[in-house]
Amino acid sequence: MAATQFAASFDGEQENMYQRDETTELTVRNHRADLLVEMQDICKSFGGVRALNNITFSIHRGEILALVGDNGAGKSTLIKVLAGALIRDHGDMIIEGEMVKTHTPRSAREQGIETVYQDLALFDQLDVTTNFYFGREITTKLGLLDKREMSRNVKLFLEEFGIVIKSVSQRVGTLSGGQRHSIAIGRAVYVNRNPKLIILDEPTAGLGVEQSRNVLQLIRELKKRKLAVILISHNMDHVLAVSERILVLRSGKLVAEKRTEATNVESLLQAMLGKGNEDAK
Amino acid sequence: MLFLILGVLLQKTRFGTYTYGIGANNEAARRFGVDVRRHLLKVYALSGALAAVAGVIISARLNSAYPNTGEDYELMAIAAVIVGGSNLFGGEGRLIGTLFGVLIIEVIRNGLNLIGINVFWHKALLGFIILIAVISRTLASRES
Repeated sequence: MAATQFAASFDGEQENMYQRDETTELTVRNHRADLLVEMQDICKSFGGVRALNNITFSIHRGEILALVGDNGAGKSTLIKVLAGALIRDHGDMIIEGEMVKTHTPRSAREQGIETVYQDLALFDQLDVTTNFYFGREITTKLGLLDKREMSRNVKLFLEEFGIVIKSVSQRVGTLSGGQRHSIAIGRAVYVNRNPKLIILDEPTAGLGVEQSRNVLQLIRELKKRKLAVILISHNMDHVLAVSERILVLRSGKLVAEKRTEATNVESLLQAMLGKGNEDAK
Repeated sequence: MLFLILGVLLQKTRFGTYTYGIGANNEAARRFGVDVRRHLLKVYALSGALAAVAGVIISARLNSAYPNTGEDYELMAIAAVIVGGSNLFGGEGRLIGTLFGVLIIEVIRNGLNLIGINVFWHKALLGFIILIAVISRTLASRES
């Protein structure tokens, strides 16, 4: 995507010119075959407020893509459009080479897109197994819950992903913050028969160092299994630790796309806040 | 018999899981595909049916039926459920706990009758028991 096209769309404001470094351009072209989702010229408004303004990006299989930006930049709106929770006003969405006209949360799940929102959507009073299987329980021939089978499957899954908890029969409300986040992420992978993309909204929010490390390690496990991950986070250290590419949003616009290895916190903050914020430092 | 059937319904079926789930996290239940409104309609219909069964049993016991039979029983039912360990806001509780709650409430009520306490004080005591149960439960959850 030529930088000049984006310069024109920003009405010649040089400080808002979309920046994609050469390494990113080359990498994107080489990974065309692994392209999972393409979002082109996505726009979304709420009344008079333009929440998303011609956002174009793509994500590949097994890639960890971070989405950063200040509050109100449009990150949550963008992932809600991707997850089918919001309908885009304009733009194209292409999933595995196929144009998607109508996109709902159900169709997103059917296409392997799962979202873990910040509230985690866990049932604190219910046990881990019930949380994992909620909505798609295994039953016996008599129509009763097959708790033994479900517990066994969940146990195996947790072991495979290195999620450590005392027992799958313990209530989720008794787990630590890190374990709860891990359970929520694990569940998102588990509930989908064919998971391809997991969207994580602030997966380390409110977690301590050790717990955050466990969650980041889990995210790397997802990548090993060829799952793509889109990660929204305000924590730049975590973003730099785990992602491969970083998209920066500001006021609904995509203002920068950087390879993680070629950037740093300062550069990301500059892009997030814009040059005009230099006086505030 | 009814107790056993309802116990199985709550603990061993999807219906029971969704009932607990909606009580624990309404929004999450909706996100996982449960039609919350429809399910609650079923729960309230079941509650109404069970109230009707209770009405039939009382009428059979008293050999008569009055329109205001069972007035104020709802407070006792709530007290029994809370004393039995169920969460006032939903999501957790066991039928066996409710059974013990009923027994406790009835033993206390019967005892008050035997020692001649005015019946109007029964409700006050019931309210006090509910208050204690809720406070102790809240303190216990904060600690855990």
